[in-house]
Amino acid sequence: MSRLSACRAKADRAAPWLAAAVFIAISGCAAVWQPTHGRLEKPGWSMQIPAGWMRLTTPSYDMFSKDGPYLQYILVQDRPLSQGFQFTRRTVEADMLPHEMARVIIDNLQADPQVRDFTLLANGPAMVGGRPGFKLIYTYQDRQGVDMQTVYYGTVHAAHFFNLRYTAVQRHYFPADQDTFEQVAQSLHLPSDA
Amino acid sequence: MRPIGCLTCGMLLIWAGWCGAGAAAENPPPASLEKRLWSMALEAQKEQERTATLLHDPGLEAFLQQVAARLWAQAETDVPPVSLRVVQEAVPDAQAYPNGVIYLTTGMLAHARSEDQLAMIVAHEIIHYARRHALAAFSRLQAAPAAKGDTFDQRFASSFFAAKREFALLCEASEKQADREGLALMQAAGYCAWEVMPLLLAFQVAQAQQPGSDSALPVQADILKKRYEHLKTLVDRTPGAGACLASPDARRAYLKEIAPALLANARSALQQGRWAAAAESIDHYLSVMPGDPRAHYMLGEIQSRGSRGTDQALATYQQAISLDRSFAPAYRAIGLIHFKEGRLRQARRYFETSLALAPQALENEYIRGYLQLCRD
Repeated sequence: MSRLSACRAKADRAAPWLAAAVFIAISGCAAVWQPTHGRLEKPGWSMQIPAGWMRLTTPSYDMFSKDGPYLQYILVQDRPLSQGFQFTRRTVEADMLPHEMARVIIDNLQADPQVRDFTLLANGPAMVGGRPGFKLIYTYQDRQGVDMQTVYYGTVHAAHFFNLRYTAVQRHYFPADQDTFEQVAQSLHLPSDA
Repeated sequence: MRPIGCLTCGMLLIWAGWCGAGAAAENPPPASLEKRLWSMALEAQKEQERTATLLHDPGLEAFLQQVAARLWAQAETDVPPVSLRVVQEAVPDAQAYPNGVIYLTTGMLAHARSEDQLAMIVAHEIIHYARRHALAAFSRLQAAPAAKGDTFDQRFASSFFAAKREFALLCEASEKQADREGLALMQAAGYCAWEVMPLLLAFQVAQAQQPGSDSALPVQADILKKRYEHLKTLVDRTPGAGACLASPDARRAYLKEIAPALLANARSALQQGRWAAAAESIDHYLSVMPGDPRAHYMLGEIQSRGSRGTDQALATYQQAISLDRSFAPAYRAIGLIHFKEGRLRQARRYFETSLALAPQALENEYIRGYLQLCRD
């Protein structure tokens, strides 16, 4: 058997494995992050997605990122009010005032072991999709010791706690897309409860 | 004394990771192993102090150090003395690091009802440290039993489960020793051994609570039961049954000493939504510090956020104001209750006072917004 044919035989044997690996890699990617643009319409909310950002949809949240979620992401979550938070026994309730909702979130963040050196930079009222809510800005260090910054909007809507946040590495990435995120937040529409 | 099982051993699993192969155990462990353990412990401690919030109160620290020193004077060991630190955390816990630093949570301090009970908790941890239980467990981990089996999975499983079993036995033995010698240590230091039983009973009661409830302890009932029985056997041999139990005055004196921890514990429990635990801590605090407006305010917060109702909360906030007419948070809290219940004129008056008293307060931006709604 010549060297060429031996090589081809090896390639023939390897081909199904290689194909399977490529298929898994491609199908894995296609099933997770998808290109997206324009206005995204969901049952409970809609908003404008910035050009060039990718989207990841899971049963509990939607995530968007331009350079990868380790560098920056926008996360949208519409969680039932009855769902408790992971690190406290608290829930957001329908009759809570905006500052009370903000307290629940701050307490949960402070109890989160992944969030270190939590520093609250701003905490105030905000309109979120046309509803009274709150806006927090905070910094923290993640488990790898990277300094992160987040803008967090929250409000109650149709028996759900709706929240929209932008998290990015504090150096370079956070300021780079902060305006883009604020435009996304401004584009948010929450239909009326009725 | 961690009610939640084998604490030092648990930490070691984290520090040491899993080491499937290693040299046979040496007795005593080589100095290099202890050095390695110390450096890992220091790293873990740094991490602990970065993620946890320590409570710094000179009076409390002096009291704890005094209890530790009284016990340490009776300890037969050549290791350097212990030092105690308090973590603001409502879940009862105590941890001894191999370098002698003992962390107690505010939840653990609040769980104890007398200095004698605290002494048992500290004595238990001192024994873990003085008997180098962490080092014994670490060296056991390094000397995993020989793997058996034909495949990698079989060898890994046999090695892992054999080591896990040995490790569990070692933990149990360490806990027994810490209970037995800890009890002897506290007695030698002049503390009342009989106080240990109500402490253990309180742990058992907490354990028996509905899982997920405020005071439930995530510990196996049979482990607590075994420890209770073991300690009871030891205490039963102690002469003068029950004669030394702490008097109400002694219990009150203890609550006074740990008052800063009770306040911090109520705050921590409140943040975590553990209303019953928060209420218990603040009630104990107020029993010895009835004139503190911060505590009345916190009780009001517990009442308004928990299930005790807004009427009671209003009265409690008023109590805070009667103790300190310039205590802005209480005005704000009363304003919020009126605002939520539609009494806008009253809400406005309290909001305006709170803004005037504390113009830089954190939540003022919200209050100004609500005030605007009251005016509209």
